[in-house]
Amino acid sequence: MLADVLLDGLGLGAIYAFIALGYTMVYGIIKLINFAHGEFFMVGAFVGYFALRDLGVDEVDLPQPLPILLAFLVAITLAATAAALLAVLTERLAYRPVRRAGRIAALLTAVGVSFFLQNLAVQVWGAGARAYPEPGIWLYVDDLPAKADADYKIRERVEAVVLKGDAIDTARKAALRAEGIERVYRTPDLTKEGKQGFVLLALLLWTPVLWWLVKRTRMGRAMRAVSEDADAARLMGININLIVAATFFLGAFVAGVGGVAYCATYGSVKPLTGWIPGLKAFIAAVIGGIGSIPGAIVGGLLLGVAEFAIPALLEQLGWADAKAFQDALAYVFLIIVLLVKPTGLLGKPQREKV
Amino acid sequence: MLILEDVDVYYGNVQALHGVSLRVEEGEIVTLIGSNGAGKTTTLRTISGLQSPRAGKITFCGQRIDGMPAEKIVGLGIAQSPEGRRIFTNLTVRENLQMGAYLERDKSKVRERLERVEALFPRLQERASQPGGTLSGGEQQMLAIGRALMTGPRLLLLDEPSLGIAPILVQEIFREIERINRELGTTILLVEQNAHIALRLAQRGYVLETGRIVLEDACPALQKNPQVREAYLG
Amino acid sequence: MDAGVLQLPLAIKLDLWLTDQVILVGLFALLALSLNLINGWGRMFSLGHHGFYFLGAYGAAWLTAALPTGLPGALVFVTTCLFGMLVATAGGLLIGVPCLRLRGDYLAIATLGFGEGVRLVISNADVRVPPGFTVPRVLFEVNSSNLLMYRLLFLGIVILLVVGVVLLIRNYVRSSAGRAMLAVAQDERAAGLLGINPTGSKVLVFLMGSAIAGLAGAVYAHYSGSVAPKDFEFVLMVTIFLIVVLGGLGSISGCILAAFLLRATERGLGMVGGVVSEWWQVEFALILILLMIFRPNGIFGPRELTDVIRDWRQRRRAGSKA
Repeated sequence: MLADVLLDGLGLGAIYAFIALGYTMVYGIIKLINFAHGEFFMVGAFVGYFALRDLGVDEVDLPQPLPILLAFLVAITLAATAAALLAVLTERLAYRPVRRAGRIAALLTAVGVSFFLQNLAVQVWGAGARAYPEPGIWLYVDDLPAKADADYKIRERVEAVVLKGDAIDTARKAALRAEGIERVYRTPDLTKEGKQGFVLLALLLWTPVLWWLVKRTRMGRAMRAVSEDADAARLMGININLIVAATFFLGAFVAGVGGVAYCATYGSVKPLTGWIPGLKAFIAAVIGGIGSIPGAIVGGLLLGVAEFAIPALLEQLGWADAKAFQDALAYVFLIIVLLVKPTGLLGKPQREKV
Repeated sequence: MLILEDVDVYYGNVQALHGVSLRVEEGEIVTLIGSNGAGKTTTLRTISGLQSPRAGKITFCGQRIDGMPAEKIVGLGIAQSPEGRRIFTNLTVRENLQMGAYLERDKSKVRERLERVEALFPRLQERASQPGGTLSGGEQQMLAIGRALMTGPRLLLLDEPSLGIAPILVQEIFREIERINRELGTTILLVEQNAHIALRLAQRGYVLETGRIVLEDACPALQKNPQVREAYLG
Repeated sequence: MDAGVLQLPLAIKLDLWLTDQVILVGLFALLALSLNLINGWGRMFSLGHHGFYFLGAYGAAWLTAALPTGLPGALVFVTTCLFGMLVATAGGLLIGVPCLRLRGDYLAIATLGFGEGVRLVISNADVRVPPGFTVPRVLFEVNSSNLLMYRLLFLGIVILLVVGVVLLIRNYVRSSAGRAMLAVAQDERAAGLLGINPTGSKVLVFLMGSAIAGLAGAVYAHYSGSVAPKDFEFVLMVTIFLIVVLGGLGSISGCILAAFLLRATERGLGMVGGVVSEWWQVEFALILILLMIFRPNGIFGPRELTDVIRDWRQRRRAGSKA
């Protein structure tokens, strides 16, 4: 029970962290709440969807998981790149022109862009949810093991034709063929917990990469310099526009990875996929300390766990309706953090810019 | 080397500089003095491209630079140590210096410059891995100058290096400024409110009042000028 | 709507459609005016106005269903509307008091969280007191023969409310409390030095804005007969904001004009791509972005229509002399 709640929370929290990273980087550098960030996440998820579908991840012939992993790797790369390019385009066309027009104008533009992308996605891809391609490994009936190691299905039917544990002898194979069944498929033994584990692993792998990029590279140093003092950075010869674009690229790239991970874990994608997770990820970034990369990760994981643990706790205490408040929890958290420690858990006190 | 001709600068509708003209020759130390709000900082910001002039001409080594973005002007060899130091407080001292060499891709040159700057300001080497924000005011000023030197400038613009710094450190910093000019051959345009010390260091000086150049002379002459004495050395 | 409407003469159908449109424009004008009070005059960045509208509608609906039947309709109507307003104001108090100390964009995200959170909680939770979120008709039973009467009645109510709110805002802005609000909006610290309590002034404006939005919501609930949470999504907030920036932050007449304009374009844009086209949402967003890039203070800025006309006349007179 406790382990379940924890894993659910960490899995979702890792997704929040993936989105929060981009939010926090962009906010750090131009002090803009990029509402459209959730939409970059969503577009990434859609591109991943098309890539996985067209790579035929649900029709892998070999009984080995390697091609599936490869397909996911390709899909994630494509998704992340698409999200990143969209972010750079958005920054160039919408955000850069209003950068000097004041924060309210910039924020409203961000709301507009978010809303625009959501509705464009509705028009182009339809408002409904699409089932995310689930990997499928196909086998000829002849190649089935003597004792079925998983449920095996065929396309035309929802229920499995061979159940896990069934003994497959020659007679059974003949019977299947008599039904016209030449090939059957199984999905990999990946429970939701397994997938969540993968997401956590991905976050674990990404964090040091990002940390290295920001702390150890010339571009990362430039990003930090711009976020602190744009004019002083220009005096060092830094092209601000280039660094801002690079920040959008990097942030959205990570969000794209998160988009595929999220939709593959929870099984579907739709144009509104990015809206609520995006909002919550921003809240996670604020909780962790906006502008701080470790803060985004801590905030994301914390929010994810809290969203599962607190309603579960309340249910245990006898409040049956507690789950309904799961979605509102993040906002309550946000308000508490903003009032108690506005710089977030790991944020540094910032000099107010006049 | 640097020539400003009739430069007008506006903030919105407010005119900050009225037809400012000045020149700096190779190897000189030139100072620009004036009271608070006279337009000294605006002049430097305009030279380094953070502000663009509405009228007038700025040339550096024969090349027009007015209207050029700041990050390009740095590459031509003009570095600025800005007013209030503006060091990157969350970056370490070493990282601050590395930022100065942002445009220099040749690692051996970066190392060479780093050694030179750290020889000039040994304290910066002692504190290399400390965040810039933890330095004292005087050390931050050294860092700001060192960071500007890391760009490998031919012309160094210094904005109020004595502001808010303990008198002992001011002496030290001005000694180093002189060394930079003498040993590295860097031309310097120095903006100061502390006219005493600026006129002692520089060879020539300009006096700026409400956005206009009102006087221009060799420093010894300026030091004797009764107007200057009354307004700035009194 | 019952089938009887389909058999009505065309002229009556047109009247019905027209009154419906004008009522909706009026409600949007109320929302935009109250948001403008917060964002335009008060310079507080709120993105949670749809939440107050929802609270007002939901509060009124809940009380209507909870009250015993047989009470006089007008009494129920007035009471429930006031109650809706009260619920929205309470919501404003709940979010406003802690959050108004926050800086601009934090306030925006906190209020947005409130607007979205309220809706999510009520639609998730099993607290649908009016079953299926329907609101019983209290003024009179509506059928095809008196539908137009019903709508005209609401048209009157909405127009009355808009006029009332316009007068309220005008008088408020000119009162000493209103001047204090404008001072706080300009420079909080300086206003504080003049003896104005900035937080108090901000909370007051915020509450006025949420109360008006709640009242509009309550009237909407009675008019439409339902409070489905899907009618109170973020698109509503974007629309209200678009009206405010279109009309100009701090302009009363601009707001009302923009509400009309937007409704007209929405109908127009909806028709461009065919009958069921939803492209208007995309186009709305695009207009908002372009507006922010080219006219961040709205088409007229904080000026009233009368100022614009006077300026234009003066310029023309000056032009004809020259």
